[in-house]
Amino acid sequence: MIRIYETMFIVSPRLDEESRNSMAEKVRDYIVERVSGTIEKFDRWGIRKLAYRVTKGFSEGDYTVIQFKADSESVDILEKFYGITPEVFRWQTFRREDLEKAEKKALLKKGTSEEELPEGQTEVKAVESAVVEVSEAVVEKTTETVATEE
Amino acid sequence: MVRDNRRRMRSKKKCRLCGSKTTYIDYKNLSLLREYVTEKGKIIPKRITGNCAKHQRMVKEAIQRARFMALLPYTKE
Repeated sequence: MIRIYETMFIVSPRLDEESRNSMAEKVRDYIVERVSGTIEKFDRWGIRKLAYRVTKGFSEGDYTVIQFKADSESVDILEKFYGITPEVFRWQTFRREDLEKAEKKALLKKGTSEEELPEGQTEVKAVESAVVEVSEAVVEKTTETVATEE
Repeated sequence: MVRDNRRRMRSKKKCRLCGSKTTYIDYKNLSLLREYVTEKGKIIPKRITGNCAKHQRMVKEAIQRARFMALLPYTKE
């Protein structure tokens, strides 16, 4: 199941700028190669003050935000990678369901307007459910009419 | 009846996020999140902000994410 994810991580400010940049690129390449995802957005914030002092004693950090598409089962690999990288001291990865929904809607709209089925399954499912609903409604109606006749 | 009620009536708060039809609150949008946080950094309850349950949940989620990434404080002083 391909899903949209967003990940943010903070790199230690003790490294110099070059190695911080290379660290961000390393994560990006890791997502492409190991997680086999596709990068949609790559945003470097650079050094930024933290809202509070972290237990490691840092009061600033280097932020990077990456939005990517990946398989839901392989995202764990990225989390493990963060865990064994001491330069990254905080990270967060989560699903962007709102973007997924928007994408799905756009696909459905496209399908109905062009009357084509670009990526079969979702369209077919929607049609099927609609048909089922209609048939149910018909059954209800018939039962009602029977009841009234009796 | 109506007149009696009017004396006690307060203007009813409306969920501003419903007004703008928000479907997702970004935890990086700090200027928005600061409106739902007190000076000490606590989340303001929905009975005061007037948020609906759905949007209060979104606000909560976003603030918690921002706090973890040290974009917003857990507490101030």
